[in-house]
Amino acid sequence: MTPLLWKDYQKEVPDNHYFFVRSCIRQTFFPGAEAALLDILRNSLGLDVFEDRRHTTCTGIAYHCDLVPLETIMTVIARQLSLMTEAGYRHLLVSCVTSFGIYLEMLDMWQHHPEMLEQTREALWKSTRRSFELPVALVHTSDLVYHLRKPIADRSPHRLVDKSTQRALRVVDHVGCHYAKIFPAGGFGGAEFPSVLSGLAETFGGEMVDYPERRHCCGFGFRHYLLQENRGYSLSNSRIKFESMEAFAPDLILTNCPGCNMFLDRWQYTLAEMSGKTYDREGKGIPVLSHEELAALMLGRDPWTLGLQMHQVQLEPLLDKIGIVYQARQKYSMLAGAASLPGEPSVLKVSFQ
Amino acid sequence: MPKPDFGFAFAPNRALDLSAPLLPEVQVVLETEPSIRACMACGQCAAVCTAGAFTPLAFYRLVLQLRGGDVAAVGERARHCMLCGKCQMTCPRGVNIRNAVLLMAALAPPKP
Amino acid sequence: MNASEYLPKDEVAIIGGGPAGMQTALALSERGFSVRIYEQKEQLGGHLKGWHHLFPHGVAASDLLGQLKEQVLARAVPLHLGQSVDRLQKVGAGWVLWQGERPLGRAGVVVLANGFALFDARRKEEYGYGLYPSVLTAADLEAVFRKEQPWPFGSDRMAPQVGFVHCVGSRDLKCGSPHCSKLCCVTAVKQAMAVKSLFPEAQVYCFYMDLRMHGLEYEELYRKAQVDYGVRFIRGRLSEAAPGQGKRLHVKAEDTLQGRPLHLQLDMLVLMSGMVPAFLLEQQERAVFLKEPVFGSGFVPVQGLLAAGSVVQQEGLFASGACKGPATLPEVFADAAAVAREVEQYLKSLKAVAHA
Ligand SMILES: Cc1cc2nc3c(=O)[nH]c(=O)nc-3n(C[C@H](O)[C@H](O)[C@H](O)COP(=O)(O)OP(=O)(O)OC[C@H]3O[C@@H](n4cnc5c(N)ncnc54)[C@H](O)[C@@H]3O)c2cc1C
Ligand code: SF4
Ligand code: SF4
Repeated sequence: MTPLLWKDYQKEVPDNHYFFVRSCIRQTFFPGAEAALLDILRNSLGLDVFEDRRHTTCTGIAYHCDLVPLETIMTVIARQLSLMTEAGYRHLLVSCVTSFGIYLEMLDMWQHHPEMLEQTREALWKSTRRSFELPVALVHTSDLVYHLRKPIADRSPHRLVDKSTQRALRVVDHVGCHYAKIFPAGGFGGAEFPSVLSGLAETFGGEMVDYPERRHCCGFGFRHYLLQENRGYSLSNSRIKFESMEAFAPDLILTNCPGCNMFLDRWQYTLAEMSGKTYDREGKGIPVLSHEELAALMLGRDPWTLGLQMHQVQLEPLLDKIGIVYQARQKYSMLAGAASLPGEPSVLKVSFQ
Repeated sequence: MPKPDFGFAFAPNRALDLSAPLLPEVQVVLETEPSIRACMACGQCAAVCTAGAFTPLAFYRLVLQLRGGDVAAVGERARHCMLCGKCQMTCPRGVNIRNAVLLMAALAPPKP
Repeated sequence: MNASEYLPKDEVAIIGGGPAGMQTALALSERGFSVRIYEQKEQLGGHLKGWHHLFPHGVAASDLLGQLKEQVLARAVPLHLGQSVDRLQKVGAGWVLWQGERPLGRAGVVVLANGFALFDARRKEEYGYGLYPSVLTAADLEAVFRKEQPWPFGSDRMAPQVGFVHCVGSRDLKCGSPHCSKLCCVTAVKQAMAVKSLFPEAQVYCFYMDLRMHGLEYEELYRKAQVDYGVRFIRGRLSEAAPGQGKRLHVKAEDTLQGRPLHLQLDMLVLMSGMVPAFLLEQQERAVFLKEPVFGSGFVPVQGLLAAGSVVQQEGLFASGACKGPATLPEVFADAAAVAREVEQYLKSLKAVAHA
């Protein structure tokens, strides 16, 4: 029976054996995040997570911008599934919320229109001589991190608590729209009572803030930011969220979508430049982390190996609150040698050393 | 670093904030002409309005905008009124529209 | 078994001791028929038990209920309290009433008067009923008026901001209830005025799609609410409630007359939960089951034109009151008289057959 409240809604997540597909945006803007996730799953938790370097973009962004037609994206998705099938896996683990929505959408379409599935099989066969099976489980990485939150927390040296005052850190979450608003049954807690991030933050000892614009879109919207002239739309929507969360003085914004993670982070800088306003009390902005970045920090991974220097809003204030020890000087020493320091914004306060 | 030119800007939130208390000048209008409260936005007044045929004057909308605190727009639009009184004849709720419009028109800053 | 075999002293069994059941019992008893009431609760009264005062004149619900009960007692109508009928079995021309495996009694005619259920407001997830303490249903607010439940805001709030949402679980295909519950509009107006009387400084808003003031004097009540009480009516269904500042709620709606979204902080949000079927009538050839309603199940289907009371497909089974669909008390009482007349005709026709 369907539960009365999405709050009670739980999703079946397999314990092990995943075929992993990456996110274009996450890799580009948060390059340490997926490596950290794989490290946690494989090395901290001993899971079997397989990756095939031949997998490609899902073309989801281009599809949502009407640049890639339906038949094309279906065939691309079919190809990813054929890699999964070839490797002998049936559990698909998706890093990107956009991709996750795309997989849900294609599976749903194929279920309702078996003839489209047949056409797709034919198109894939003609173009690549490949065939595929449908996944038994479709899991977003935030689902898996949520599913494994207890074992992760058990291994964590840190908690989402201000170490000096023992105050639980206030967390506002932003669940990507394509995670549960298109197919509410595909996510923990559905669209109205999303628990996938709040449950994670609470497991680590944080305090969830249910702020009024929690369910408002970050404004990412694909076609709304591709052209520079359109970006004000995306910015305005993120601003609505910031205005709404400001009163609750959050210590952290937690996301599961790479696009949201980027915009909620970068737009704070943009808004500060445009209006002179930041949404925290000290002018440093509200730090933004994704689920796997948070899990990695909690497990004691090094913030700079994790790639947190790539964030616009600096993470140091949050690291200090949690009591995470880091090498301030190592922040910009990259594998290829020391990088030059980024330029300083005129409003948002940053800590480059 | 110099302020960058982004090539785009954010738009203000269009949402009305009903929690904000009524502006004192709005309160004065509502108290001076209490029949305004009886308006049920049926629109009869607007359909017969002489000025409404050519201008954005629609009395019931002025009532809504007044409560929303959009005083400048209300005053500006009320000035299109010809005071012919057709609206008042047709209003089923007996709103004293003429007086209401005069009070509203007084909200706009005097024309130089 | 033939028609004359039903026991004359058990002529009519009424299922449900709410306003409809009581009034139907009275009307039949006055006509000389023997009637009994089966009521699942320990007390008579149905939903009326939970109301404080009634539209349009503000009569105390307890006064009306008291009068009804007195009359039922005065006519010594046998009461089977705490008995919930879940199955009717046709035996001859009459019925045997069952609760599970236990036969409760028999009758020549059964009148369903088991009323309606309130829409479970938790199903409108976006309003957060059951999650945020300051979200109430109209029925909860009646309990507050009756002092059976505290106000959801502190006594320091002299000027509370209060919102009423019309059509919660009515006119809502996604909730399986396409119908208008027809009396929640006037109930919202009644309750908004009551809140303003208790808290003259309060700001009270009604969020409606259209105001269905169908009854005598309801429209006048609406005008009074606007003019004398300053209640503000906003055309637009509430879209979302979320926690706001302090203990307040943050709500969003569209002012569809202005074509602009609006938001607002509230101390209390009242959901006008509609009237939905209390049970699903499953009809078989010689048995009728009263089951849990499912998504989209309708009210009791009746045949005939105006004020029809006889249940489709079943001889000797009638329905009275709000089990047939949303109804106000005056309508329920008028309906009870009409149903009683139909029952009388039916019983007379049976006797005529038996005598022939
Ligand atoms: C919020 C709200 C406010 C209202 N305010 C007013 C008002 O001010 N004025 C007005 O005129 N009307 C008002 N109404 C309408 C009024 O409540 C109804 O018209 C009336 O209650 C209908 O009476 P009823 O007997 O048909 O149903 P109910 O009141 O629902 O009574 C049905 C009875 O049947 C019993 N029962 C149910 N199933 C079984 C079973 N299987 N076996 C035995 N017993 C059973 C129940 O326990 C109950 O006692 C209001 C309604 C609502 C929702
Ligand atoms: S005619 Fe009267 S009631 Fe109707 S909208 Fe105009 S002022 Fe309001
Ligand atoms: S009576 Fe009014 S509130 Fe109730 S369902 Fe009908 S229109 Fe909606």
